[in-house]
Amino acid sequence: MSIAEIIVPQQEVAWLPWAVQYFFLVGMAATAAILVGVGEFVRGGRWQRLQAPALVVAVSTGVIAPIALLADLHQPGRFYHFYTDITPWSWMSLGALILPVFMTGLLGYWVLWQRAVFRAEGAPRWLSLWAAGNWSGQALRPWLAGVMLMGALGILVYTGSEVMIVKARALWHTEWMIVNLALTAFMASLAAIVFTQARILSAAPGDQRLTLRLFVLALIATGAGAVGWAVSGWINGSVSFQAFLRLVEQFAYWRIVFALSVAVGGGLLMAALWMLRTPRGVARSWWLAPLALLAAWSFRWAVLMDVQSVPKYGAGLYPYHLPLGSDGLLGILGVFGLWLAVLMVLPGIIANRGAVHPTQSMREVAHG
Amino acid sequence: MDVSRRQFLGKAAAVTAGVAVMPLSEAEAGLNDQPPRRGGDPNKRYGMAIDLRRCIGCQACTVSCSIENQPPVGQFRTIVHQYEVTDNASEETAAVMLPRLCNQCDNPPCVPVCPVQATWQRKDGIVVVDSDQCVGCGYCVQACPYDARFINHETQVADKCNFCVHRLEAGLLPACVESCVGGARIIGDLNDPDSHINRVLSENYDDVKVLKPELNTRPHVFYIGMTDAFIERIQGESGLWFDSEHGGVMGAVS
Repeated sequence: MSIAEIIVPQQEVAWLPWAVQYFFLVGMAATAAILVGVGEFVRGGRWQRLQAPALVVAVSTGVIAPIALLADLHQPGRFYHFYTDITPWSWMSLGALILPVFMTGLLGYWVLWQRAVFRAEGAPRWLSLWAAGNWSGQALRPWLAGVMLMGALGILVYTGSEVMIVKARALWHTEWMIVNLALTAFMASLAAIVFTQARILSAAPGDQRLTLRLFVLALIATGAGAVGWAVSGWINGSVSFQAFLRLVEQFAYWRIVFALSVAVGGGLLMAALWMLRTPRGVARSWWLAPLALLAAWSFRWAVLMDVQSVPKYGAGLYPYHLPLGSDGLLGILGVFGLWLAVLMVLPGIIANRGAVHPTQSMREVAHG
Repeated sequence: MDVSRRQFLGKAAAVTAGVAVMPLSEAEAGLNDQPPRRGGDPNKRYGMAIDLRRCIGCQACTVSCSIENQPPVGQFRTIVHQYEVTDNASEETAAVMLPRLCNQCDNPPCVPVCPVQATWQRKDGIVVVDSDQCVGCGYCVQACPYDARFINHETQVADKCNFCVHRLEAGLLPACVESCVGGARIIGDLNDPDSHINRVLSENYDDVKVLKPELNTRPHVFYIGMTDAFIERIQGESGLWFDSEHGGVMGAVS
């Protein structure tokens, strides 16, 4: 028996490209914040010197992510309903509580970190208030780092879980969703840190080497996450992997997505390993950053937008044409434009006169 | 009884009363669990039977629903899907009509995801949306396995069939039921053993099916006379928009 659809309506996407932007930026903010937090608690100058570029990435993405999230609501003016009607059984409601905690930790930490830098090295005149007064505030820093770390973990868990629990979208319905969103976020934030160190902060080659190594580690972990999802899905017959097999079998588009993912991931890994071999290679590794960012962004596009064009009941795929306005291209470019604008201002503040650690003892480590 | 003990007991009672007043869900519903139902008649459980043998695909239900509930043009709370089914051996073809609407599931996946409690299930089983409370996050649209929900272009909030609850409460039939020329749609109280819907369902007991039963949503729209091929995702040709072989647009565009 063969069936042809004659009259069936098309289901539109309910999550817009804004959601891709939010997941991309908040994932980078959370993973970069984890690296900042590690620098707070782990002894060793290199980890601490990673803090400045990681803060540039975490703060710049962190302040923009909530804007994209707000824009994804069809009724953005009603966002306060998230707080007047807290819903403990909804992952998204939980996320609305985690996000401000994370932002408080991140921005609070940054304010104190920056205050120490300004007090040690002097602040530009227009930011002199930042260093004013006698209170150093540094005793609070580990606490804020703790809040930031817990918030960042909360962000990674909630964003993945919120997608994972949707049984109706078979591809999403796997625990690996949490793991793979987090790993690709690490890949993206480390790529951004590599770029920031090399092109914006002029970091020492040794520091860049650490970041590049971490980037390679994130790439390998991302690959392992993909293989883990596939192998465990194959063995357990998970709905997510079976849905993927069906799509790859039936649709050329999904075959291209799959082939590109393998090619770009493998290519990035080979190139990064090659560059790690020589100091010159390390110095040039920032070339990989745009491609790595694009890969992490595209993964979110495939997960959130492409999966929405898979009918839950019907045959075929729903067509999706990217609108040119704010619900489409303009929104995507606008968010990236905003990020670029913040990136142009922020490093000048955070780095001040070089990526040095704010406390005296750490400066000695850095220079010793 | 000393004062402190009396105070303690008094406070304990107040706490207990507070728990009783507090929505049960806040005390009990874990992440992604169903919150308790609210509103509606607890003695009733509405359901719909759709006898596909009586449906002629006239879309009178689609039109009357649109007139009654005024969704924007091109968006539907109910619509009759139409398929052409060909027997591969005999090459005979037949038209299959499949009226679709919200299934008013007993375990509705759209409800627990809502972050602002704008959608809930009434005690009579009907899943409703408060369009003044909804933030339009689209999470419920993702969670519904039947594509029964959509973001209304005009109100910018989630929209769906609610069995015309405003008509039911006024003693009227839903618009789609009232306008169905073949009498294919039957709505009624499943808790009433003598109701029309219960009689129809028991008369056709071996031929009653629901969509996607394996998801454990326990739908309460029951189809009579439906081929098994329509229980799960359609394995076939997507006629209108996409060439399923190549993923390219055809039909409406070409």
